Amino acid sequence: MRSVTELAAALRSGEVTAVALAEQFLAAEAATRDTLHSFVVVDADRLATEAAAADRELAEGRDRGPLHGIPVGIKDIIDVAGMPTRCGSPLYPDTPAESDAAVVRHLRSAGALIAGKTATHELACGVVTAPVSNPHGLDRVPGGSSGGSGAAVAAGLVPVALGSDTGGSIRIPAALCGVAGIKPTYGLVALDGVEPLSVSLDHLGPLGATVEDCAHALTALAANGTDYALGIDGGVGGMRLGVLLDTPFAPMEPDVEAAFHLAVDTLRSLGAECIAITVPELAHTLAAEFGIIPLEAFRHHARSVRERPFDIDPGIRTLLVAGAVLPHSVFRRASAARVAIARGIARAMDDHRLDGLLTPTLPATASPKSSSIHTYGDHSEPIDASYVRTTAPFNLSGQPAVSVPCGLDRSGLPIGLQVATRAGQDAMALRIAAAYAHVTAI
Amino acid sequence: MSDDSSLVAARLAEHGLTGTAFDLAAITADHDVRLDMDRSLDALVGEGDAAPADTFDPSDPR
Repeated sequence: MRSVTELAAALRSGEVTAVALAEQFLAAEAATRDTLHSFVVVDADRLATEAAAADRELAEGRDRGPLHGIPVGIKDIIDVAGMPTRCGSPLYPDTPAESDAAVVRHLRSAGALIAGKTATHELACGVVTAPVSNPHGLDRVPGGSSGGSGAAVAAGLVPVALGSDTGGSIRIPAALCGVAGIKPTYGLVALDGVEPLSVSLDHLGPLGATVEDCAHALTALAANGTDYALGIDGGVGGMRLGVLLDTPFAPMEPDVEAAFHLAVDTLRSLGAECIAITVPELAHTLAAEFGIIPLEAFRHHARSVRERPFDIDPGIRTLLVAGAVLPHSVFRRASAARVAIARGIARAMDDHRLDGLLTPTLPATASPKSSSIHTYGDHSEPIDASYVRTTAPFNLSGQPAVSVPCGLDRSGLPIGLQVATRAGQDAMALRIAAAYAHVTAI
Repeated sequence: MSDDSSLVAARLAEHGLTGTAFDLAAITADHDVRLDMDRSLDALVGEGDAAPADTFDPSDPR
């Protein structure tokens, strides 16, 4: 399926209809169901009805904007009325949600078609999303926890799908699947009707075929009157961008490092001044992130852990139990570390008068499904720590962060460039990412 | 703070987390790793208990 921008034009020119797009989605989803496993719920009849209504509205001159008539995937931790919210877990019943989450209401107001529910890593707590496959290699993980959304967009089933991001769960699958994704500023997108993981770190946002698609989706999701696609073509001329390469971004795979340096050079060639900076506080990213999540997650899942422990993956159960066992001082110290990290980033941006920050989204490309360890030279680490250490800084700080494709490794697997800006400057992050994407698009 | 397994067992019991789903040795080992991670924060936030950061607003980078 083409991008939102292309489809919006095609819908208005009469080249395609929303009904045809719905049929294309249903055929593509059926064809990939047993290989990608990207969707867990699809309601063909309801989608057809919604598509026909979208076509009627357009024919009558009621145009709801760029998402009108376009199928969108919804991560299965987000309520859609009439569909179950299972969170990738047997803990949740098949009972349909009674009402839409706020973001689903916003999407419907913008004319989007709800294509179905995309697979999530169990309880949105992990980076693998089994059994979903990466379209760039079916033996590879799509990332997580929004792995179904990443795979669905990368395979062209839908141009946009929603994800959530507590430590990188939008940007990880975006990078590994070779699509765009934005974790917006904390609090910009409402979380009503969304199953939480760690409330002070949870964010909601879109993954999209292009950066522009993410911008259009964010406009609908934020529903605050801001058009996040406005000015997206403004370029990076005269901007000052900080380049982060120290811990926790190092170590990284050589192909990732090469692609990242090439991306920085590309942005320089577009007129940005790119400056190497250091933020020493960021070395404590994982300690802060994993000092906060267990307590907040246990607070939400305590009853399930007590009453149905065997219905929770053992690794996730251990993390949740840590929330019960760890002294509260761990949470307080992690929260204090979080403040120090956020202030360290802000200080560096002020000192260097930066408009944005550049990092590799992830230090590695998509792992084989059978692998649980990443190795960088002499250094080995668990896959979750490896994928989260480069994305979590901006969950802790609450700043917007975009992942945009920036090439392939020698195995043909996608690499991501991460662009972060100051809180509230989501449009700026999208603009920088779009400038890069425009000159690198094949 | 202590990484003593009896303390871990007591905390599990406080929360009603009893039974074969809760492997005390494994949970204690995980607990020790997490306490080590917490101690690594000494360099950033100082030793001992830190003041709560309840007023932190992640959408405000100050």
